[in-house]
Amino acid sequence: MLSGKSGFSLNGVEVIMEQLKTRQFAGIDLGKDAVRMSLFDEGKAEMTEESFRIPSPDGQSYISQGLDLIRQYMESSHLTWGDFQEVSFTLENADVSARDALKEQLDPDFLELHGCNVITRLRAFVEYVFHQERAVWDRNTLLLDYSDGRLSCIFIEQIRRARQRAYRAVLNEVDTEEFGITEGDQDLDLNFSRMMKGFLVKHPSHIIYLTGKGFEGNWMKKTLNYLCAGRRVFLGQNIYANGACLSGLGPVPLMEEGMILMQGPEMVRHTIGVISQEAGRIQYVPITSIGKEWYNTSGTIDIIMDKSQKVELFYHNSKENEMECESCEIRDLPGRPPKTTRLRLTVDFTSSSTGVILITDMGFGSMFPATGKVTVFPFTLIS
Amino acid sequence: MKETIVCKGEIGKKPYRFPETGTLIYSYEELCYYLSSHMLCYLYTLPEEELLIYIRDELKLDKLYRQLVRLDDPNRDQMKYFAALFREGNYYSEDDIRRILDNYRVLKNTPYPMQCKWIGDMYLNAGRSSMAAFYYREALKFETLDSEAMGNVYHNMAIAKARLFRFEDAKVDFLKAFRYGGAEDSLFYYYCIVAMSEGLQRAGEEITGLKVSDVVLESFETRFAEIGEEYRCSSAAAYERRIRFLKEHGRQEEAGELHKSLITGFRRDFRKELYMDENLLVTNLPVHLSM
Repeated sequence: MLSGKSGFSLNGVEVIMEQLKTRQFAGIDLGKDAVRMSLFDEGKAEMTEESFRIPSPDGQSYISQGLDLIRQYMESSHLTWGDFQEVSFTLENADVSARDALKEQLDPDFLELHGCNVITRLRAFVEYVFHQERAVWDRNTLLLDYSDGRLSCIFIEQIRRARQRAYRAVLNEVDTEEFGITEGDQDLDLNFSRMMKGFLVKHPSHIIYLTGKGFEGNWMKKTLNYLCAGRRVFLGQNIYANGACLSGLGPVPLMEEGMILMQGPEMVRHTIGVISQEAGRIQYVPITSIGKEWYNTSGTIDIIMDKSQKVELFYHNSKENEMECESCEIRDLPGRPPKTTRLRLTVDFTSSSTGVILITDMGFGSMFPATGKVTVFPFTLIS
Repeated sequence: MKETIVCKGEIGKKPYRFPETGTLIYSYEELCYYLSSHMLCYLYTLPEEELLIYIRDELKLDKLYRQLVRLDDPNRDQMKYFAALFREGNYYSEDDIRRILDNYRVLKNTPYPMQCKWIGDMYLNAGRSSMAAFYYREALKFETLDSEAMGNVYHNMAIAKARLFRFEDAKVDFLKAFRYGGAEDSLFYYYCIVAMSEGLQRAGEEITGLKVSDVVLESFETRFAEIGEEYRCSSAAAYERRIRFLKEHGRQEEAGELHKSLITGFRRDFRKELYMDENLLVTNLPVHLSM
């Protein structure tokens, strides 16, 4: 028995046990038909997947029903939210109202612990792919999501094969009517395989993921024969939850370097930055990066103002590779010698193409005290 | 297209205090700005080791720390130390750095008495009068300065002594400043001290004794009257009137308290060093350096 007298304390052991615990992450995908939860144990590098069908889509919202199911599962498995380092969500439709509804449904304790971290399904898939071994993302990857008669695809394409590789992830809706694809139809397999032949010519992929309840049942024969020819095909329903879960591990280097452009609703295509000189060379210093939803994109940088009293901001469109410049004049600051005003630039988006830059006067130590004056500079990204 | 200076490193949670001037800095850019304008302090030495630790722990500039540790030897070329420090970020352009180092070279090659005078000026501006007076004495020791420079040194030394409330010494130095440099200002301050300590009439006699024209004396009287007028409108004068009122009405204790706080205010204004960090008074004492 451990006691204070023996030199150990129970408290000390608890601390050691706490330190030995590996980090765990959770990802929850709230769909209208089912809620999926993935748990990742970093120490074991093991993913646990759970899926619960939502009983009645009417009446209570699918978000509240889904969360109830998750709470029941947590209770029965003796899990608490405190066991997880980070919990991320994906929603079938991650618009403002859905995000607000989710936030309302979450307990205050949960919000205090993890916040309300919502990512789009597009990003969840990209996170999933780029958290896998290199062989998975070294070439083109495709996700097909077939639910409620609608087929959507996310195509991750390598757009630069130089040493510093770059990728583009595009979310598209596929017109199934053109090929006569109807859920439950007896020619579904034939029509689907015909469509895939043309589709894969335009979207050459080496790894294909299939998800959505449309792929359930045993109807795929010809389609699978064609898809599996020289490719690796995976079918699963937890891919978004897995991606959300893995996003908690932190950004992959390619994402951090802005090398993955994601084209889809809510995604930011522009970086906002300044032009600076590093070791005599002019370079663009981004404040925000691409590859995230606008509501998850923000950035801060500190700059020194010279005598011009102007801040020049650059917007780089990563899709078109175009640069725009805008100047913001800083007024009403006390007279100070050149290069003795530190400004903090904080960029926040209010949609994928609009936002606001807050420019705060930080002064210059005790030599030139800060006024704390904030200049608000709204921006609209046109290109 | 305008280039922007992007800040390097982090803002320190606590400041670094330069012992010479008591200036507080919180960032790499402030460090660069301070050092470039206080190179005089580092003609024979380098910044303290504590600064390197601050660079590593608070500003999180580990690479710069490792670089500076290797160069932190005053017997080595000090230019390399400063060049490495300024080149770490983008605060100064290459041209700026060259200009700062050229100025530093000029300062190093300046005769020692002149260096002492400038260091004294720096301390005087920073509110460290006793250190300033010390360097002015050093500057005068070698008697190599020309008459005008001697006048300036005596004048500034007199200001430093006046701030230390050593008015008799200040009087003597103002007179010497006038004799060497011939600056009317020195004589005026001499007049002011005499006027305040011995009265206006005595001050007038002293100035007349120095064979100064009546016009100058008249201008001194006007200037002194203006200063008096300005003082009468100040908060200190209001304090003084209140003290007098309290004394007249037998409220000695209250008057005593007010008097104490008035004197504290004066001390704070004139002897900043007394209110600076205690370390300031004991560290970085000047050493006797040979020419």
